[in-house]
Amino acid sequence: MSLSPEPVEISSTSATHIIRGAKAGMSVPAFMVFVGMIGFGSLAKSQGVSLFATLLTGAGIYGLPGQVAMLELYATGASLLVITIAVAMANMRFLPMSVVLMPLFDPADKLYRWRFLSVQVMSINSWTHMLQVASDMPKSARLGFFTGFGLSCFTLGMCGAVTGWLLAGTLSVEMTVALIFLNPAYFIFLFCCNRNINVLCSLALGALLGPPLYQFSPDWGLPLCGLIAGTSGYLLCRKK
Amino acid sequence: MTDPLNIYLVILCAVAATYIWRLAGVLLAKKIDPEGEVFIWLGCVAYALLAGLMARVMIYPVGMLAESSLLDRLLAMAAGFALFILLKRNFMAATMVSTVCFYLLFRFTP
Repeated sequence: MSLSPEPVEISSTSATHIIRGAKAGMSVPAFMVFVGMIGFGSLAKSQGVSLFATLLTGAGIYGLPGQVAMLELYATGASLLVITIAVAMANMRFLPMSVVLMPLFDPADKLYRWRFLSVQVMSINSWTHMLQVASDMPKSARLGFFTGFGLSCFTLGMCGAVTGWLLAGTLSVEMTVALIFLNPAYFIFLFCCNRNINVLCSLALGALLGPPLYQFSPDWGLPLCGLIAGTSGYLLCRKK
Repeated sequence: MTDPLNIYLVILCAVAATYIWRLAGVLLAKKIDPEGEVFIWLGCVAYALLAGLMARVMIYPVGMLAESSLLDRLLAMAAGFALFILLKRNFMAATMVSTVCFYLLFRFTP
């Protein structure tokens, strides 16, 4: 058993981190993704999209606003270019999110070369959670933990899409709308748990500016909101 | 009438249009020091963008959520926030209470 202790040690450590992340994700966070994807699955079914194409969309995009934008524009007969641009704009948040996430990981970690795949399971859920727990774990453990956590959410998300597709039209309108409401409510309260003063300022300003800027420009409102509110939050509450 | 687009072609483009942001982030991140000021600023930008998105979903929803009234959504969130503060940042309790409140308001108010 002790012929090659070192490689076994390293790979089993990676696996341990992944499993630990998967266990941490397999509760409230994965449930939230599950619920969010139910609405998407129902929408896809109501627009005549096959279960296979629904799963492919959910797994490939894995960002609800973009998925919904794609389905809605496809249903209205928009051109391929219009759909592509709309999806890109709706999911632009992944750029600042992954820029902030990646430096948390250790380039010496064996899993690091797989980061191009790991980033696919990044959602608001796994991102927020990783940022909150990163300082509590060694750098080398983070990517494994994040990947496991993200995979849990991703897997349950796909189950949610299937569930929604199968249940389409059977849930009451009130129940469906309440399930849609659950997701943003959860994220808002989750964000509010943050204790960093810069982040709290940015969150408050972002919430205030987001809706009017969206009215001003549905495509550019959100990126603008991030830049203006984030920069203001960063500068306003900066500790010298 | 023109032929409908092939759904798989649409999915391929949509997937590429999303993954490109994730990939760009991974590539750009190489130049960022996690202890530096740029990192803190980018974190603020990302959080502000997400807060803006959630506020937009609550105030100007699209799809089925738009069938509820703004007052129902705001009252339900206010109830959640009250509990959030009362229970010292218990976000799950706040989420559940605001969702139940929202369901009841939506179901039983005209």
